[in-house]
Amino acid sequence: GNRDVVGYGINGRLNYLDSTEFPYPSLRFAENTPDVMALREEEKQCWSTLSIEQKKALYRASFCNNFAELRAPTGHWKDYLTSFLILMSITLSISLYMNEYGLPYMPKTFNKEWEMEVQRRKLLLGN
Amino acid sequence: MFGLARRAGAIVANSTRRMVFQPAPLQVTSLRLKSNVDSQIRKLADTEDGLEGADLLNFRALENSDSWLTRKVFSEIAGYDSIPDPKVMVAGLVACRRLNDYALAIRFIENIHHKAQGFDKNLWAYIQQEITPAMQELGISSLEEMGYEKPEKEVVDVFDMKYIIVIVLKEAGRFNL
Repeated sequence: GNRDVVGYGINGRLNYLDSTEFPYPSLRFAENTPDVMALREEEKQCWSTLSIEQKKALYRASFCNNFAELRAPTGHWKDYLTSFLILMSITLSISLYMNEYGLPYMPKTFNKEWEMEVQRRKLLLGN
Repeated sequence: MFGLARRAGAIVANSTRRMVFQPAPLQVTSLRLKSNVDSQIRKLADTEDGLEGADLLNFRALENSDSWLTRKVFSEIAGYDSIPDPKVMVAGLVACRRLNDYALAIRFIENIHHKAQGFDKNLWAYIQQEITPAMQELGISSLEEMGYEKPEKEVVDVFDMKYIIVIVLKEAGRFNL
């Protein structure tokens, strides 16, 4: 588009990117429309004559997001948590089903009463 | 028996007393020599109101800089692990004024504000204190006045899945898939 090139930027190429580590991209964000050109003419005078809306418009013409918006929380953690929980629930259900119906039987000796009987006979033989 | 112990104790006490008190006068004179040498070096070296090193380089670079060079200096400052001297900041704002670029000045201040949050609670207050005279003279309103301490508009992250899905469907529609 018709955007001003203002500097080296982030990697030397003509891209725009908002970043807290590289705050000064090589292009202005907005194109040079007549509104923006009018603002630029007013920018050349004393800045205290500009209103707050004009100052904000000047900033938004050069940059897309300000630092507060870049640092704001995104809420992506909800995505990650829900996907994790869904997958974990699927795997847990599969493992429960397999433990109940899929895997072969346990041997007889894993019975609690069997083991207690074994210990009883051991003690009798020992003494 | 006790006499011997008392004499031994006295000897030890005297020796320790000497060890405690003797080095002090030497220390004082060595410090004085060091400060003399430092001040002489400072008179010979290239300084400007106590700025040194990278601060001085950036200060000098911002004096007659064009748009390219100011942004280069600002991005270097953004890359350092420290915050620049307030004199360097004021020089940066004056350079923005010379270039007639208000947005760049606000971006610079925002960058320093973002960096100061990681150092100390009082650091941003101190920096603001040092800068407000220059800002008022140039007519730059502070971040609070502009309302840029809080997010203003909603951030549209282009890489969110919903936008990508929309784009993919649009492209598929173009090819009549």
